Amino acid sequence: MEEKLHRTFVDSVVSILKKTAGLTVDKIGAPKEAGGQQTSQGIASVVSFSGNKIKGRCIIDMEQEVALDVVENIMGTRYDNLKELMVLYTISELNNIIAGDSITKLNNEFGTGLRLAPPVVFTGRKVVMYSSQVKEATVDIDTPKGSLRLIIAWEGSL
Amino acid sequence: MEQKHTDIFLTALESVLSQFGFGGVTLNKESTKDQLFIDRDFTVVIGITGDVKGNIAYSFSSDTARKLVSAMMMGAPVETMDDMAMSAAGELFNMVTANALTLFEKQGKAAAVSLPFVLSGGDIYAIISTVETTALEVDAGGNELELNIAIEE
Repeated sequence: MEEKLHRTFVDSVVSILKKTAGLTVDKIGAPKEAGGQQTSQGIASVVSFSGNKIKGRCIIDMEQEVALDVVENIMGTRYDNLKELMVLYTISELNNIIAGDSITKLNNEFGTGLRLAPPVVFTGRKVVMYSSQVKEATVDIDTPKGSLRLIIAWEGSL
Repeated sequence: MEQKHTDIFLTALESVLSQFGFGGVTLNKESTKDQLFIDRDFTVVIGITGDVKGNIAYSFSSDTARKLVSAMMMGAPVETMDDMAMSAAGELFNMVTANALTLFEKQGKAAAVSLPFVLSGGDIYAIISTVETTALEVDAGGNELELNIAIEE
């Protein structure tokens, strides 16, 4: 069941990146158990969710070049700084679309009744994300522009 | 009359912190922001879903974090913010948010709290909502905290 959870989010990431930003994926790593702390690669967006069986969050953490390329492909403008408002908003909305796609599938298949909180996005210098005592899995995804990381944390089971 | 969102979170903060021996909560400054520049050491972010939805970000210094976590651990000294201390800080503000949601529920608005996560780092720029964020700078028993509240109904 946990594998189904990861797979649903990974499928949404691959599909939405292709549809919205024309970004293909070279390699998808195996889900790794995470927990504790992780340092952001550049810019990260978080969407929290909760429902009648599970609650958790979906983090998409991107290297700078991947994020700037995604924003350029979606918005048609090249930015050179992750702190630009348009970059922050675009990455935030991208994760919102990805998480929305995933929870729709989970709700349809498992009756999870999940609802999303609005997305959070952040960038900075050596930003460390700490996770409390929850189940967490990380999937590394390589693209021609660099790598991104999907981090799913959850409590409960499907 | 319905309590304002900000009052609800201040009430919840005072209620939870008082359980750990911290005195009253005083609001020093209230402002609105579109984008957060986080210059405090740690920020706990918690998502809310339901009739009210949004995100709350609680920011504080390392010194405040150690004092709060120490109080949660019956006064045991906290030298560094290790994983356990981070988890305790996340749980503390999870309790504050859950407490606030019980106050929303009294207004007939049901909502659920999601999992807390903690951020640290330098020069952090963050956006926690597409709606306006209310920033509250408060003093809680001599400890400075900033609450950033972005709630949609």
